[in-house]
Amino acid sequence: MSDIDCKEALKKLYEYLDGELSPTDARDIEHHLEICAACYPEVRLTTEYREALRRAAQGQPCCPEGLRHRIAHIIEKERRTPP
Amino acid sequence: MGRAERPVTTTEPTGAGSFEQEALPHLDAVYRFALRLTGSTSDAEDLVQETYLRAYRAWDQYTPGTRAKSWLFTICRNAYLRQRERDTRRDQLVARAAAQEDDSNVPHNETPVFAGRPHYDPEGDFYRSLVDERIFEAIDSLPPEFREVVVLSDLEDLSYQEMARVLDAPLGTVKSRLFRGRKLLQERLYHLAVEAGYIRERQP
Ligand SMILES: [Zn+2]
Repeated sequence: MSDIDCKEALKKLYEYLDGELSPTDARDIEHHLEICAACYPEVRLTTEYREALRRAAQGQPCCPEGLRHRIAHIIEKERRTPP
Repeated sequence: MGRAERPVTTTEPTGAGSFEQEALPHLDAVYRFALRLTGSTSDAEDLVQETYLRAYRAWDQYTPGTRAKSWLFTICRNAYLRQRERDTRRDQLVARAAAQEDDSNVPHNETPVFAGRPHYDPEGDFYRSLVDERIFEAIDSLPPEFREVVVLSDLEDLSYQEMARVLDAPLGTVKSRLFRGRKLLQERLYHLAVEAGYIRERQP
């Protein structure tokens, strides 16, 4: 296990939270964040940000029914038309 | 199965790998993406309609097993950009400013967003005070280049690789835009919380 510093941890924080790091890099950063008080505020803010957006994402509207039908109709029409 | 091989009949080709099974389930996601791109429900409806027509016609170019959602996003975004070119040039200045800022040589690891900012909410609780409407308002106010990465990543959960494909941009550019977009959005959300009186900024 290699030790990383705060700079390195914060630099890769998003990639870590986005699940874009290799398992080794992810473990290193996890280990650092578990024991580091200095990184905590930024991690907390970033986590709250992500939570807020996830919550908002769930509240987004669905495709209107009228549009859904129009598209089904258009596709059906296309299918009947020889290429 | 390519489109040319598809029999022209009235029977519904709804088997595995069909347009119906692969593309139609993503209508909600494509509509949401279109809504964030255009900022209006009627423009979004037109864009989704065009996207699905184009997608159907290009279905033989879709690689089965890849994520249909990001393939549809690509088509949607391209259709949107074409439409925007045809329309006014109102976004040109914004886009140019964003492009200038978006230099991939600039490291995407800059100072943390709130570092050194004196405020009374170090735990970020203000995020919980923001209703969805305010959040979308802030997202929609971002320059298009930043808005789209934030939407694709934080709302639609695309991977960096998928975003690179949708945006036709190198991975480094995606990362740097995403970092800047999030930073910009976080600042705007913070200010909304200040405006709403949830955070009182310390007097200098
Ligand atoms: Zn640290």
